[in-house]
Amino acid sequence: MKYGDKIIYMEGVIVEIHDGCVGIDLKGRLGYLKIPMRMLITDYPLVVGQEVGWNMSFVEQLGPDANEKYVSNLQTYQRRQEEMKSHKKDEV
Amino acid sequence: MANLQILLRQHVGAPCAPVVKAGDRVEKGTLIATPTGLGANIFSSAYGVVEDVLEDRIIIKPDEEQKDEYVKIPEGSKLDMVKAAGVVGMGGAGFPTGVKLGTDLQGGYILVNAAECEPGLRHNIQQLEDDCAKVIRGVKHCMEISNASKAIFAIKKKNEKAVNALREALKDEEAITIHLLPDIYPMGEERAVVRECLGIELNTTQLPSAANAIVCNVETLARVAEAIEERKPCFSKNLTVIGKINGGNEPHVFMDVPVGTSVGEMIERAGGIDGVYGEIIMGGPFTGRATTEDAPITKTTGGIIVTIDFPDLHGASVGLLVCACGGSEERMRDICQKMNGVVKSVARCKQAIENKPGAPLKCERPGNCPGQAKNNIQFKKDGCEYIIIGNCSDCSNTVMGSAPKMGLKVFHQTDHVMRTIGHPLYRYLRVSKQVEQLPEGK
Amino acid sequence: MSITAETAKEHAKDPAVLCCRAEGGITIQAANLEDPAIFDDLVDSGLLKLDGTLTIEQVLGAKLVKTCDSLTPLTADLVEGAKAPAAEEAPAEEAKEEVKEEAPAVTANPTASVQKVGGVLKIHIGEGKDIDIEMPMGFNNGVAVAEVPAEVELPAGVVSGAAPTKELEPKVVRSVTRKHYKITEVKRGPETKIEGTTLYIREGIEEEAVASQELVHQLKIDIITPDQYHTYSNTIMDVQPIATKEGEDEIGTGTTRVLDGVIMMVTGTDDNGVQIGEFGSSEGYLDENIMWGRPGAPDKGEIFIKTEVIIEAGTNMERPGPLAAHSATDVITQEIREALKKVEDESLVVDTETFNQVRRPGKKKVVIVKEIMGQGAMHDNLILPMEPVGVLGARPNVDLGNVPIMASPLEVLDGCIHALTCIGPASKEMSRHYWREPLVLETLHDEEIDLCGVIFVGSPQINTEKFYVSKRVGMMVEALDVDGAFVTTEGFGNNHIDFASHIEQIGMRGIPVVGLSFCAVQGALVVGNKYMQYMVDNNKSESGIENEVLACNTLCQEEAIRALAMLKAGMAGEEVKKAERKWNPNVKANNIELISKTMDRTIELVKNEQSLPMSQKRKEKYD
Repeated sequence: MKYGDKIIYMEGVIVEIHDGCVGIDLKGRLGYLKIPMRMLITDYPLVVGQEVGWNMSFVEQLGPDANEKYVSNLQTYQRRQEEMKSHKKDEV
Repeated sequence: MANLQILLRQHVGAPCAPVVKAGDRVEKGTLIATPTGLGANIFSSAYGVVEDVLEDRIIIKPDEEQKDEYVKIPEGSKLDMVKAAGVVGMGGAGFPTGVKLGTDLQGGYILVNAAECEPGLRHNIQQLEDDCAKVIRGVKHCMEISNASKAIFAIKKKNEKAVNALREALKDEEAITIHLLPDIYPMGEERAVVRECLGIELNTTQLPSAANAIVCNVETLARVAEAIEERKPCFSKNLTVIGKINGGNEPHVFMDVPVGTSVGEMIERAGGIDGVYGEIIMGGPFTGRATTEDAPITKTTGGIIVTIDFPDLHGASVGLLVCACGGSEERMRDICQKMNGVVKSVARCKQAIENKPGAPLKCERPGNCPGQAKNNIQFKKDGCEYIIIGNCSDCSNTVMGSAPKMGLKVFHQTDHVMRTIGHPLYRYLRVSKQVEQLPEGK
Repeated sequence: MSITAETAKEHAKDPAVLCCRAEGGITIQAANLEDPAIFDDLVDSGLLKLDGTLTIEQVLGAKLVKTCDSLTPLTADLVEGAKAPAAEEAPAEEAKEEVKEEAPAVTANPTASVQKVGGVLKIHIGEGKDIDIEMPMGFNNGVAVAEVPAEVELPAGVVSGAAPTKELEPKVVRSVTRKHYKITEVKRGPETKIEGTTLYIREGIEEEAVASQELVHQLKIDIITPDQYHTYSNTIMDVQPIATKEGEDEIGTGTTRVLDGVIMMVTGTDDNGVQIGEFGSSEGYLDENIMWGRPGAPDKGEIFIKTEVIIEAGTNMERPGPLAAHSATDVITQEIREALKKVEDESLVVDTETFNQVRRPGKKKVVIVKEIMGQGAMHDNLILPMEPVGVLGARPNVDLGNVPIMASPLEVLDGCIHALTCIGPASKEMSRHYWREPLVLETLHDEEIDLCGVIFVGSPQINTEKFYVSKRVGMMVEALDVDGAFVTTEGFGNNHIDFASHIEQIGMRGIPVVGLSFCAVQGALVVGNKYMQYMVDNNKSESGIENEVLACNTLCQEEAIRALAMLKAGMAGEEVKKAERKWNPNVKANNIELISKTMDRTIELVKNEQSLPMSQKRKEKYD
């Protein structure tokens, strides 16, 4: 990592609450984060609209090449999802 | 003239026992209390009547008219006269001088502490400027009493007028030389004086006698001369009043103020407090403590400082860096409270040693920093926003080397005083610790 | 803070940084230098850059060229008369020799450190709410271990004089017998049955499994034989043993029948193809994603009965979703269990093992606290089903309020936990993990230890609830009057808050407590307290991270051995060395070596992801 020590304080808003995860919109429309419950430190009962903060850094590429394993996994996963969706449509 | 309050404890050691009772008539120089252990005689500083004898003080109602004459101490050996006169270390320590001089130095040194290191104070330097002859006579008496062969005046180079006066007076004195000190705090610390003059670093439990030396303050030496030459008991004090005083923040030096006079009276004599103020300090900015207007002057009172108001931290988290050079933790907490801060963390300078539990801290190497980054890391971890330090020039500089970069805002415990008297704040060190000495100390 | 001459010697190779302002012309001494112990903090906070800084041994005695302020790193241009670094002086040819010289020095290191420190690793983590990240790696000490027997012998000596010997003899409280049935082939057929070593699964059972759960829309069974390991799979949600109780026997007692060579594997997605418990995915090719032989993982050579459960869209992150997938799978498992119950041919039993729950009065009494996830949805565990790792009869940990529950060690080994398991494939404890729990096994079999029970405590989401349950743990452990305790947790995240709190609650009662968790780099503890002195890191990955390989960083026997040795050291009042600031895998290696030497026991370390087939790209990414 070239810029690994640049820690930036970020804030977001909880926009989705599930039993197993929360969805967080980064303030300023800088993205969306979905994290499992256990990665969230909770001092209060969870409510949509609560503001959250964390430290993060910029995301850096680790290299120029795509990892074939992940490409393959992703393609399989997406293909399956599409298959299932079209299957569902057929059923309807 | 207002009542005098003469404290029974004006020195290191146990409080004295009163030898007068309410209604007794006293004169200037009447012995009114004697030591019960280590201590020094206490005398009335005025003609008048003992109004009350309290547990810790004797109240004297002075006559309207006061003569200059005083009751003289009995004649005796020089050492006996110093003891009888109740002379104590007038730089602030208050160690009975008669006891100190009782040491046989076997040809060692009398070191004259003329550093007057606490910023704002001026009475020692002024005494040297105006009448260094009396001080030099005092030095000679001390050399004789304690069998010293040499004496050295330790004085900051910046005090040119006083240095010149000394050079003139000492040019034919073979045994007495001058050692110039840099203008950094705490050059006046007893062991710092020994180190600077003799190059010997004492540990925190050693007395200067371990280096065959006795360190005496300028005024103490003058009082020694008065005791021996004029048979005068020690009942008055030289001091500086400075601060937020009507007429400006220049120092007001008062010589021979009767012990027992109130702080308020001295402030009035200087011009009176100018409007809103922060606190009144008795002593110097570093080692003094907050006092009140009715508190009395003692044999060790060197300064009365009226400060500007404190800044308001609005309940912010504060770390205290306690060291031997500045105030005690209690004093630092007092300042923090006056600044409306909340103490979140307390660190002690690595070199600040508590010789005995509860004893005042002593610095291992006065004026030479041991590094402070670790303390700052602690403050940061403990969530402090501000830190208050009481450090010497060198340590303050080190604190500044990391604290601001860590996001800690630094206050020095003397800030409000320095702002009051127009002295630079203790932050960065810009002067060298080395000064060029006079050729052969003359 | 300035350092002494001795400290300077110890840190001779560390960078030289002025602690305070120093004036030009001075001769540099130890007192001018800052203590290298705080450099990490200073570098982290950006106060210090150490590039090009001379070492302490180089600058001592040299002259400072100009006045420098505090925290100035001493570089060559600031110093006159610095000793040149050895490497620079040496010509290229000699470099080799230097390497040679260094090699023995490295091997000598561990020994030296043992003598000096007494060998045990101590972890100190800032008290209270410190959000400092420190990386604990804890291990044991040869010296301490050597001393433990003496400590343990003490009661025996007392006994021979006074109390009747009988009382102090080990007592078997209860036993569980496992009968193993070998399965070499799994086929589909008209009915679910076991014939010889062939397991038949009824065709069409999928429909019943689907029908059993409203949220389950489809279910597919794949039978994965070893030659099909290179098959793409959705995230592995759980790995379960197939076992059943005989007759009226309850979990933790009596006889259990178990199939060898075959396991249940739960996977699934929702209608849109989104993974159930999507996070920490281990989807991909099975052979690249499973750390074979871990307590919770399949063993190489086993056949997987893999279900792919499709649940209603959008329920994959809600409580009912993952539970439905598990329940539907259990319909199949249950039918296999029924078939297993029916097997009458005793000759099919290939192995019988008996687990005795032994109490050892007079020995050091120890309790194991296992923290299990209870934040919700897939962060849940079903406790005490009727059948080993079943669903029926079990109560979800979340519904029980995550409060501590006491289980016997045999209940643990007999499948009392059906784990829904969640994120972090590498560090999650699947159902099979409890079935083969190494710490329970190791402690139960240690004759110097009296294991009194295993407390399960859930990890709730909200901090106040975390402290609610950890206080109960403290009270429970206090009431047990134990001499020592283990606290384990799985995965990482907010569960480390209650993990730390459990240790604190136990530690503040004066009970030595060893903590076991995946920490290393990625799982660094977010909080700590002064009782977290004895810590064992479950990490086995090369880089100390969550590497997506199923069960790679879960508690194995090598952790159990270290933890047990460390607890013995703790109970004997031994000091444990402070942890290094950053994760250092050598600490573990050294301690393993020490333990095996002292205890004269060969400890074989398990393999990590490096043993799996992986593409070059992945290698680059992770290691």
